[in-house]
Amino acid sequence: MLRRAALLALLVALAGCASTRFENAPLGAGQANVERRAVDVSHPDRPLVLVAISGGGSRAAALGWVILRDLEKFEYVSDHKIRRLTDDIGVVSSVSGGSVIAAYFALYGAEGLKRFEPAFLAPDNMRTLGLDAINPITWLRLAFTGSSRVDVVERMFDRQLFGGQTFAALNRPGRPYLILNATDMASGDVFAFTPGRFDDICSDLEREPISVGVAASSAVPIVVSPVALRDYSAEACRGRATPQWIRTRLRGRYAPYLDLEGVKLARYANDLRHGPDSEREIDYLYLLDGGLADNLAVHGLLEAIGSPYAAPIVAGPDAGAARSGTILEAINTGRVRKVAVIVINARAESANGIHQSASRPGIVQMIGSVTSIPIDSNTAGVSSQMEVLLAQLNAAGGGGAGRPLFAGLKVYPVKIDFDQLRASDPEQRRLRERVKRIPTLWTISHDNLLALEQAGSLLLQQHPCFQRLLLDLGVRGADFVDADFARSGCRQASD
Amino acid sequence: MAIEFLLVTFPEERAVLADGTRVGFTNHTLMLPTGEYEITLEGDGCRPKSRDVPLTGTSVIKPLVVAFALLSAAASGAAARKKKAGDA
Repeated sequence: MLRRAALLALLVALAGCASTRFENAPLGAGQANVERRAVDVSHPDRPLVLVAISGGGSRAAALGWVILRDLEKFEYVSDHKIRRLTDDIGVVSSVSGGSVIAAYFALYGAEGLKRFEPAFLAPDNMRTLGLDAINPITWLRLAFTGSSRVDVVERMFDRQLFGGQTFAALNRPGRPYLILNATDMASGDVFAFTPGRFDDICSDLEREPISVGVAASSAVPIVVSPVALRDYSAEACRGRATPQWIRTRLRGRYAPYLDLEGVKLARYANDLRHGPDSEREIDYLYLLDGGLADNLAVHGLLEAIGSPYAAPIVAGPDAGAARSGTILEAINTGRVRKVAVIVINARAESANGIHQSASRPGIVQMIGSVTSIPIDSNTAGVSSQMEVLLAQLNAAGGGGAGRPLFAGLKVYPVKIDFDQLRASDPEQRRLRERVKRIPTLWTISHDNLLALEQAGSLLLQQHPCFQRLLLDLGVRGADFVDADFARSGCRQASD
Repeated sequence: MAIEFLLVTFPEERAVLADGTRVGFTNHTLMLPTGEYEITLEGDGCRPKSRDVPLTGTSVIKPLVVAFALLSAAASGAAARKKKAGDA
């Protein structure tokens, strides 16, 4: 027994000796990450649905699953065919716990949703992680292969959900564009597992296991180690051209005054690419939970909707044409007439009782505040940007000078938040208090899952913009829709 | 991210590019985030070749108007011959 303990202690000591194992591969000479997804916008009566799923461990994964499952139930007719709302999901952006369900949905589609509960929500994942962590083979890996604590989480995701599949399985026509968001530990920038970002670091995204992206997005600081990637730009992509949007932002006379955030994004991309006049030479990336930068994952949606440099994921207007475009171009040319943005916020409130204690808070409580308050502040800032953007798009839909083809655009912002459960309704108030106390872990109890199912469905159905979307699509069987409530609570400038 | 409004005028319908990316068509107001862009048109035969545009302070009823003109037939023929000679 004593010998075994000594051996374990030796292995722990040696754990720091193995060099870091980097979890990505370089692109081949002259290669780039190809975008194969193409959102079909050939039918203007169909909405383009974009979804963002927040962090929050299994609580967030479960809430995201409930909302997606509910979206699948609503059907409408387009071009004489039955469509479900999940068929119209073009983009899914996520962080942390939300990334688990986001990646699963992107991989298996609506048909896979029924397998998610037995595969991930029902099992006691914390026990699985605990057993793996004390497994001597894990200790050996840590000591000698450059493995780290986050690998335990990656293995769980692979075993239970992704079966070793890579991003190549996601990058196919018909699949939604998935944005798994992590945080670059060095700078606090959002680092998304997307073809464009992997081009920046000259790395092949299609060889990357999905479990690595999900693990990076959900790597809770201190509890697990960061996911380590190498930036191969200097050695494998030397001399490549700098995209024009980066050049304009870094050299433009007005850019720092009109679009400082855009300049910072360009600077970060240029640094990753080891471009001309780069300010930092980034050779290694250490990625942590995406919630540190943006716990609602709306940053990815903001770029996808509003940026002219977003990934070209909208199919071209001509059948069989190779060219595809951005969502912004599709809106500007009148091909997208309805945009629904569903932001799922699974934020909870842990019962710390500070406000009812006469004793000064201790170090542990302070650490909790120091981490959660800035995260909430960052998230609130990005969330406001999204609200402003969607309000402006809605207003533009009312038309204006210059014969805009976006006149008539309808925008449906559907923000799902536990605080929308009605305080005036005692049952909803109790439900709200119940779900907000669900801890942030990788295990969720059966009773808590039932509470989340009830809360998620209520929140979706009660939202005026979701009701308005169903009304405008002519969805049948949605008896909860109150047309007056929907039209007043989700007024469209194009009405 | 604030949205601005841009109207690029040209005698023909052409695709408008902002920093090399297609964003819409000429002669129809477009939406773009606030910022600075190099605006070009797809295809040849326009004057100037590009415009640097700081896009700010606009509204849907008062977009920023940026005009391109057609190169005259004689000028565009001369330009095409010059290019061909350069390529050869």
